[in-house]
Amino acid sequence: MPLSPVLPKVRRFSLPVVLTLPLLLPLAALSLVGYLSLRSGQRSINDLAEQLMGEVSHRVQDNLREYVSVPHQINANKVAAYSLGYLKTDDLVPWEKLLIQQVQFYPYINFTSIGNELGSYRTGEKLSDGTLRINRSGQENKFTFESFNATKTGDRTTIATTVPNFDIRREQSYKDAIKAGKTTWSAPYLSFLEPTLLVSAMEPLYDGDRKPQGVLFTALRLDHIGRFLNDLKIGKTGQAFIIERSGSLLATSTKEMPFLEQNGKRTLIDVGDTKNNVTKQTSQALKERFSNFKAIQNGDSLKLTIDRQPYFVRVEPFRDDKGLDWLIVVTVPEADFMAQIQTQRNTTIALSIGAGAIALLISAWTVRWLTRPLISLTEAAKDLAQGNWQTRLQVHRSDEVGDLARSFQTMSSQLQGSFQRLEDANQTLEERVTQRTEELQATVKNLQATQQELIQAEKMAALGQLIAGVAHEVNTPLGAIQAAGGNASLALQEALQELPRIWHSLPTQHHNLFFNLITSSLSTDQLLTSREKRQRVRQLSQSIETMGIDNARNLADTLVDMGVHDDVTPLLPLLQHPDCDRLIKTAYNLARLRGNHQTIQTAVDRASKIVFALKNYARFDHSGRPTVAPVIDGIETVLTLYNNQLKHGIELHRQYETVPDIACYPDELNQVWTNLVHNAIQAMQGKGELTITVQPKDREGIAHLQVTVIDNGCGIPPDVMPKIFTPFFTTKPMGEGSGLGLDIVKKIIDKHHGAIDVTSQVGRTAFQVWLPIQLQEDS
Amino acid sequence: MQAILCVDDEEMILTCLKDQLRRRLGTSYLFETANSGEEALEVIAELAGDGINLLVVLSDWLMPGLKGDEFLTQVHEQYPQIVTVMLTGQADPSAIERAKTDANLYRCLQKPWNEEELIQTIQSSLIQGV
Repeated sequence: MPLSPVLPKVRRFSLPVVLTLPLLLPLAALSLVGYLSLRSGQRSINDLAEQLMGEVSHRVQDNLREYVSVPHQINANKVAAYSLGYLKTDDLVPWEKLLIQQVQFYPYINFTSIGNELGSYRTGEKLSDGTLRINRSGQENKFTFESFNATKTGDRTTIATTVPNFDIRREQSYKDAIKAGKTTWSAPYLSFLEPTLLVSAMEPLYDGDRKPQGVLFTALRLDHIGRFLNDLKIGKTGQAFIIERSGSLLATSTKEMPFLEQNGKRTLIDVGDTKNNVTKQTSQALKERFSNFKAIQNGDSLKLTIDRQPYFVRVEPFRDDKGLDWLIVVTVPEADFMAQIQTQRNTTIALSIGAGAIALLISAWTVRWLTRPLISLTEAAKDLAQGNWQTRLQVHRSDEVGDLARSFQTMSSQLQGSFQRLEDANQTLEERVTQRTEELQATVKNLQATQQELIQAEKMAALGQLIAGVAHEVNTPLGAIQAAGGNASLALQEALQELPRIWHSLPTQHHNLFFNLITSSLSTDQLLTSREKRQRVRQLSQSIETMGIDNARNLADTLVDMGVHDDVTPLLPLLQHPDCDRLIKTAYNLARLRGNHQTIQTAVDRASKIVFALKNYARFDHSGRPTVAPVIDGIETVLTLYNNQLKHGIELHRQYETVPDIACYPDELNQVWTNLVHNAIQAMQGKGELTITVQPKDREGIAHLQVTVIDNGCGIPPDVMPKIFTPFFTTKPMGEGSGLGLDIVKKIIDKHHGAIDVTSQVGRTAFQVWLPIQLQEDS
Repeated sequence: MQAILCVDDEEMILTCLKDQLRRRLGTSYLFETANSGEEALEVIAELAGDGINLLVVLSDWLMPGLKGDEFLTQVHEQYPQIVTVMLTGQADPSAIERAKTDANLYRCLQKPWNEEELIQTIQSSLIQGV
């Protein structure tokens, strides 16, 4: 049983595609997100650079702030010792232990020292290799700078270096500190012992009279700041450097030393003289931008091109309350950010591709995992649809798909059962249908037989009605023939018996009279009606009576029957004969021979005509083929049969035109005429005018023969009119008509490819029958 | 005078009947004929006027105008002493029944008829009538 294949038409995409699509969509979204982030990254590169560089400079500032606070704290510590009176400015030896203690705490402190107004100077110093030194100069060693190795506790061990002519009071920083009269910073300077720039926090010491007693120093190592800058990851190739407002380079993240060493002499370098091109270009750009470094009051960002490479630059002033005023400069090539972004992008792309590949693999696997059982289900369903019940699904899974497969299996089994039952039912149904069909065919046959019987019955009814008339029509001549035959025979017998006696008793001269009576009687044709006869009898009887003859009436009657009407005088001798009765009777008997003969002749003619008509009427042509016949003859046959019903009270008008014989079924047409004539007679209740016309006439351009039967009877009521051709419709009482008459008429006319029209009103009903002159035979 | 009346629309039937009756019953009766019931009623009236005693009416059934049974019924109603006989080639059985009831029909004979039967019927009816 094929199932309607609706779904495949609707479904445009295969299941795997449908399943893969939702999995691919996030992948596409991922790619899109990657792309968008890339674009937004490119757009916000400036922001990013700004942010990064701001952060870097802030980190630098934060660290610097810590770095630059420590030397002052160390000084403050020494001030505390001095203020509390633990240590005095006139004897610096006790300071050595404190200074060595202090210098060990902070890696970025190069030394901590004190100098007094007497020119004495003590230093606790820590070298980059971790060596501790105690330095001294003053009057006690004639102002020679002596650097001793020292223990962690501040005991001198061996002398390491000596530099002659060092008087702290002549040092610019000392002068500046005294001059400033407050906590301050020295200008950057180069260490004697270490390859580093230093900047010293300075604290002048005063006595109670506000008289300067000395200066405290703590030196901050700028190379440490340089290392710190170097440790910062500023992009990939970015750099940071710190300069003084004067332009001196203080620290840089590059490997470059921020000083020059020529002939054992170290000097500060201007940032404009640096060997690092980026540092140099950046500082130049800053100078160009702000005319000089002192003009830079706030942090600022700029972008410049160095060696056709775009760079982001951030400059940030760095100040403290002790007079420190530096500039922090951060420079990063845009390529670094691009590289970062590039990396980001590459990562994104790689991730996207990776995710996509994984998604594809997963989706492919999922699709396969999902669709494989579904496809086998579909295949199985197709098999089922083609009636292949042997299909078995091989799905060994415990999930929903497995359930589905098992449900499907169950369903297919149930379906198989159902279809089997359906087929059985179908089989039964077919058998029943066949049985019913046979029954129906039998019924139809019965009905057809019944119809045939009914048609036959209708024919028989019409025939029966005819026969009623015909019986009378035939019996009348038959009765006449029988009677006349008997009469003739007996009359002759009697006459022959009587003749000899009459011959003797009748005088010879009257013999002729007797013969004349017989001869004249024989030659007379009786044309009188009974009424006329009676009148003659009456007259004759009177005249005979006047002759004095007995039984005049009887005699007159006999004579009139013999055709003697007028003058009986010549017969007087016969009438006056004593044996008159016998004489006249014999003459009558002889004369009646002819009358009887004539009666028989007439009766036979009548009977023959009826029999002929009956024979015509009942002529059944079993060939089933039309024969060429004159239609009028058929009408006449029917009229003959209805003669006895027509002759009394019905005036028959025949209006026949000359018409050709037509191919027809004559016996069936007779049935038509019979029905129409019969109905007409009934409509007129036996009295009226019946007109039958036959004429050639065209109908719808085809030559027809038109037969019209018109009566002036009661007419057909309008409500009955539409039903008159309906089978079994009848207005006649039960038993008189089957109601098939006009139905049969219609069928017969249809068989002739003709037509029948009816018009009716009270006093005139006309049935018009049209028969084509050329009968189209049914194929 | 006594008379027997035959009624039939066929003249040849009347002739034959008259022949037979005349031959068998002789001259003691008058044999009158009529072509229809209407005419027959005239004849009956005439005969009555002539003082002729009509004994039997022998009538056909299927005739133009008055049918046999109707005619005989009228006869019977007017002249109850007249014996009525029907002679017919085809009569509606119900008409015969009616005639028996309403016209006191003595006998119904079928065409073609047997002469002996006819004569016996008439003779017996004559006795009946007397």
